Amino acid sequence: MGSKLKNAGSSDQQPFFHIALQEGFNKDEVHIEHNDKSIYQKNTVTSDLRIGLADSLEVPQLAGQNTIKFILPKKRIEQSITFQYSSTVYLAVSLVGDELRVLVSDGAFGYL
Amino acid sequence: METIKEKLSQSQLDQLDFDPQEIEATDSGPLEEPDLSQLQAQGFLFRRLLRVSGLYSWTPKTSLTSPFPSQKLDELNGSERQPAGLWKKRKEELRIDVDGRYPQNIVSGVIKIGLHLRLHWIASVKYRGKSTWSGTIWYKNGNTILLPYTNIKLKVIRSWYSNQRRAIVTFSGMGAASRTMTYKWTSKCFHKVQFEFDVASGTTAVTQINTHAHPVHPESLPDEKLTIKKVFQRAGFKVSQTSDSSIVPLTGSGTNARWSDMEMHDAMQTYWSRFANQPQWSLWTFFAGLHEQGPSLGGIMFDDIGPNHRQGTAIFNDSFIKNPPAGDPSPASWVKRMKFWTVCHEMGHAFNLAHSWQKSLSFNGKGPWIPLADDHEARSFMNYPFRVMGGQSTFFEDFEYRFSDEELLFLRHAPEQFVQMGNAYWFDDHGFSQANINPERSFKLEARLHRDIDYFEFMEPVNIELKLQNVTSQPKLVGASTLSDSEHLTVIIKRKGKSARQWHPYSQKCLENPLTHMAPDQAMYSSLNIGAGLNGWDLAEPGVYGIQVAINIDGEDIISNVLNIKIAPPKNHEEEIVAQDFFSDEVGRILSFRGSMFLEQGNDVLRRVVDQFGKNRVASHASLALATPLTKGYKTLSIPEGETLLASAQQAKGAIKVSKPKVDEARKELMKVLITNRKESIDTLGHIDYGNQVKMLSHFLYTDGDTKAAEECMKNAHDILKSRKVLSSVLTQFRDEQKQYATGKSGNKKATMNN
Repeated sequence: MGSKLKNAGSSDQQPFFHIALQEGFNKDEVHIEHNDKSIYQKNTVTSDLRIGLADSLEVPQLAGQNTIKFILPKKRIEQSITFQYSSTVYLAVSLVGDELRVLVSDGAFGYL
Repeated sequence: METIKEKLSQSQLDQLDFDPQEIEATDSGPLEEPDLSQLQAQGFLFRRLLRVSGLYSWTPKTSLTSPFPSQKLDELNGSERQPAGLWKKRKEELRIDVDGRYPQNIVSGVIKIGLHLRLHWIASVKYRGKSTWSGTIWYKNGNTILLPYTNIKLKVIRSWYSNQRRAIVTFSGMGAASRTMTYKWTSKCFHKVQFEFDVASGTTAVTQINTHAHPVHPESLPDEKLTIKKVFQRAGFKVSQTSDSSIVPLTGSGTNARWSDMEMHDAMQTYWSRFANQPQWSLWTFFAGLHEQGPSLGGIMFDDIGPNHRQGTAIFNDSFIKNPPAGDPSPASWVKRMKFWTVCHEMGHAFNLAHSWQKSLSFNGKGPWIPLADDHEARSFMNYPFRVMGGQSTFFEDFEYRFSDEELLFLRHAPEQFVQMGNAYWFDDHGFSQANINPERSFKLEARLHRDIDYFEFMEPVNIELKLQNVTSQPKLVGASTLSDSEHLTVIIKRKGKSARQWHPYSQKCLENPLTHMAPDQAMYSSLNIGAGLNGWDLAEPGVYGIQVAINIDGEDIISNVLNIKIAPPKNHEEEIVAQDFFSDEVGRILSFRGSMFLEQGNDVLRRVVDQFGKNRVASHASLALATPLTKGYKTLSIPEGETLLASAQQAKGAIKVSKPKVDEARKELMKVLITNRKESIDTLGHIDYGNQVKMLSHFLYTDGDTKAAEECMKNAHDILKSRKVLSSVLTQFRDEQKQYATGKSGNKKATMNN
């Protein structure tokens, strides 16, 4: 997990989700859906141990309810988290054993 | 004059926790009237001033008259006698870590014998009074036979004069006779390291801070100017900095101002005066604006590309580390502290330190060097300040600008190859980093091939040739078996992208090694079949390999060139199927020993190889291994069926049976391989092995009474070797032997084929 930064990255006009796949991934297949629409699919997601980050993406928020669903099919893991349209949200997702841990923050993460 | 020790009673002596002789050893002279409290205070001060922690070393004392340490020296050291050759090549290091800053109460050591043998050991110790510590060895890495002990007792001799400082270590335990070694003080630091700090244009380097500049700090923290150099000195390193720090022009980074790992690596090679693609205690730290990942990356140990990792780190001044928390009482000093912390953090990665919360993590088969526990709350350079409970402010309230004890243990005492930049595992990436290479070398060692094609076919055993040449203007004496004796020889095989492995031959030849005279420029040659060994088939998988060989001659390591070879993939599915049986221990041994009458499963595989892939080069090796044992009466131990396995051979009615030679079969196969298919065979066997095999075939034919065929074999070999521009001295040998067969004057009528 990195440091929380204020408003790093995209503009303040359009709130978005910044999703960081952080620690514990090792050649894992990861799918991410946003309101049932696939926004990310990679087969070999691997954490960079030097900085504790595997991959990251940003997706604009939609009006109303936003559900982000994380799926690791080979590990039979599915986890969803729902937000109402609001300001930019930062999600840090780590794989700990057989479960995903999602940390929600209003500040960006930093890595060292 | 009486000494202090003589003036004090035994009970008084017992009250002292130091040895008064230590004080007498200084030039201050003994006290006239010893006073216990004064002595005690003086002993305390003495120990404070004369710390014992640091690096000590032991090297054998040479004797002109005897290769053994002298009897007197043995008694002085209490050391065991060692075989002359090994003892002469033995070197030891001792690291004592019991006082000074952040003592770990650890003593560790390294024993090196030539290039082959190495042991790293670590012991935890407790102070027992009078400059004596004792404890248990809990870690050994390497050839454990070099130190078959479990306990150590350490006695140090302090002195104002560094050349008089000694550490006397007695090893004991495991029922072995104890061994005492006396080490000489070498340095107060455990390792040397060199740093270079470079900056991209428009960027500044933060390499020092004032520890009280920011109001949030431990109450007990001294107010001082702290440099990066000092941080690592306190971790146990003798730090030097290159004086030629440079500004890296922004144009070197590509079209934008953000740096990629690859660009930084290129910049490192371009600008870092110390760069070398090999392990060395040197580290480049580069201050830049932003990484291509953006402001979320504050710093990185970027050098995980290329063959040697962990040599470069970068700090990104324009990343999030330049943003102090809202409302911080001293934003400017916060930023400077954060940058300073980040530099030390990234440099810690270059020393192979993991994050504090990843200490126990094993990843892709690589984990901690010893079992470690994650410490999410560590106040260490290797923990993120913003990760701890209470956040970064809480972290810096307790942070003493240091590495944790576990990290100091690693930095000071872990095997060097785990810590040193550019290194990874012993013999990984660059096998001979520890070699004792004489800059004014006496010999040149060349590993080479004589082949028409630049790749090895799939399953083709890899034969390489070695040439050792006297490159001085003086004659040299060298053991005649130097290139054949595995005690002197080390072969490292590294497949591209994989860890390096040391080739271990199936047999360790213990050869008589009489000295032979080598004139200036004169060379000796040998052939090595290194495809398989005790490690298995190191050269089997298709791919690119680097092969490097080292020999030790009188303590000097001679390192060869890196011989690069390619192994081609299988041509068809049938080769893949047979390969599953081919790459076995049995086949490896049969090919290595050129035949077996016992390893029948392996022989069956080789017959399949000859039948199915007769035109492949592996068939030449297989045919030679199958035919060679047929040339002579072959001895096997035969035990009747039904006898118990746990009986001795004699009890089980075993007997040595000698099979009859199968002369016709052997002759047919060997003539086919070595004469009919000579072009293919000489290509895959190499000149030396091919020549030896033909000589043995000729002797076999001559012994069988076919003088004409023996002569013809030598002529054929001579002609093909001549066409391949082999040395005239070698051709002369073949011509002479051919003449001897022609005239019936060959000396060895009983010769048979063997390896």
